[in-house]
Amino acid sequence: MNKKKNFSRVLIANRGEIAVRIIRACQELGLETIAAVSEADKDSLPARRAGRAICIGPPQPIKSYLQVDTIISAALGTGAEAIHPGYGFLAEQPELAEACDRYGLVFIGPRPEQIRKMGDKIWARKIARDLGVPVIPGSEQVQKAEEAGEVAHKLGYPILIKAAAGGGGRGMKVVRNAADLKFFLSEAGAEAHAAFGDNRLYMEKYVANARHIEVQIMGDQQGNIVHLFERDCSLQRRHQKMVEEAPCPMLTPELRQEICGAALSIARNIKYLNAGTIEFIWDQDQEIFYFLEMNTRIQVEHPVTEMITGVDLVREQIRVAGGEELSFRQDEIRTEGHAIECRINAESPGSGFLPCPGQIREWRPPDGPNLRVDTHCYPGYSVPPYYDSLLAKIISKGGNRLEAIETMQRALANFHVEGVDTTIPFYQSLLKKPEYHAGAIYTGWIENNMISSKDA
Amino acid sequence: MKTITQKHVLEFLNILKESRIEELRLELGNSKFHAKKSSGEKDVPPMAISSEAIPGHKNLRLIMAPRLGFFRQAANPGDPPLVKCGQWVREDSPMGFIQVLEKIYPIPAGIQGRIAQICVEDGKMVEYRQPLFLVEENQGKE
Repeated sequence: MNKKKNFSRVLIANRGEIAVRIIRACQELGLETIAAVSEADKDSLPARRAGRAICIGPPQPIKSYLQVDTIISAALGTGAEAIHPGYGFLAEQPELAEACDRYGLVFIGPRPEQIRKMGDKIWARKIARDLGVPVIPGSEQVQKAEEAGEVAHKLGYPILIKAAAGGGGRGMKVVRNAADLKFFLSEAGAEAHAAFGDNRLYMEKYVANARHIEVQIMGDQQGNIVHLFERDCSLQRRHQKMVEEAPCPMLTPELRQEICGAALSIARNIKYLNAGTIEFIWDQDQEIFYFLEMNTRIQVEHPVTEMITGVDLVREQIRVAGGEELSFRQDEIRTEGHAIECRINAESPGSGFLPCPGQIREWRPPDGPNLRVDTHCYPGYSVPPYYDSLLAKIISKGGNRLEAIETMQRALANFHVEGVDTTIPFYQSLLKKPEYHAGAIYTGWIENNMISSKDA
Repeated sequence: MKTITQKHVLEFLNILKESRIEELRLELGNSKFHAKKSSGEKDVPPMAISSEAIPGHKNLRLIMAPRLGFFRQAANPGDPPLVKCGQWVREDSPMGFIQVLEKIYPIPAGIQGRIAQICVEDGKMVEYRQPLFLVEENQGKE
């Protein structure tokens, strides 16, 4: 598989801030760019920044960004030789990576079989367990309610029902007692079927006082696989990450080495190619970490790792997809300082985080040293209602965590948006909380402390 | 709640999204709300043809590509093109095809009239809604 395949034109099969981010990396590498855009994104920033934009279909993702055949045709018809899938949409659908192989295009990401294997959460748990990496006590696939009842009884409530094909919290249910189990099983099954076309479920013990820690992985075609340390993404709402930071403030150097080592052993076992993330749950009561799942793509929160390591992960993704060797060895990766990311969404935090599409009348993002804003927005831009509501990611850096927090607070105060509601005020109040400053938080913290139960 | 506001609509959509309900109809005073979940089907059938008037030329209509793909004037390479410039077509006349990898989708005229111009060369990739034909619409006989 050690083939060097040079390409000079990349099709970006995504939208929003990540499309802008990928176009920038391509331009820095001297590559031409084609933005594949839906009808709703014809005037978007990626469409304007790319060398050429082509309209792939109507606004609805199912008719545009999720059409494998259309995306492949768009690449073939524009002379693009590689496709970057970004995150979401087709990034973790093995069908796009397979179709790229079939039509002689380079897929900027892992091998299709790696996407398929790690996308099956039951299979991924088995790989980790076989390597001696702890997995959360739980089940294989559960089929019948009686069987689930027995497993739940053994694990002890509360338990978590999860979808085998899962991701993004869909098909995921916390069950607190036996009486609710049957109902939540059928709910989760239906949700999983609707979201992934796969209703297989499994169960895990629910870790209440948990931190979400994930390790960034990069692999090349020469077989080099390295980690770029961890991110802490414990602040979540409905299993969606809201604030991410690196490094994790609670890890000792020994634990860091252990978790990063476990991540590497999983990635090396499957000879992982390109960028990926191995996620863990850190049980703060038991002081044990467990493998959670692997994401076979670049993640939304990759900039916090870039800020503390100085590595451009997207550029590296493109380089290794073209057959080049990783531009650094494991012992050359060092971290410096602390970075925090806040995801600014067009949502009304005051009314249950309802999406708030519409026209942005004023848009004045913050700037300054130690600050990065990844966005596709501009004054006058209309946020379409068809897609997720991410407007921008603010990433702050400091010599230490407190400096990073203070820089983020100034950035939020200087971020002026009019026309749509945003989550900026929510982050401002979150970053004032003493528990956040102390790092004394867990995955359910936002829902238990910041949101009234009706909005959680 | 006396009328359905934008905020309510967003709330209903959220409820619908999170639930197993497939369809929701609400009537309140003079406001009506109707939402239905899409089937989530991955292979979308070819979209309806769009024919729009060109400003200043009230009889001229554009027939646009119903999807992105390669424009084919005939089903097989070497076959004569289905239509030629100046030819009279009816609503159901096949005008050509859009090829998407191994699949080939016919392009019906959708209107009646005389082909004034074929805007795209055979074999070229066309974007979604790229103009393919200019047709002088005529409801009468040939």
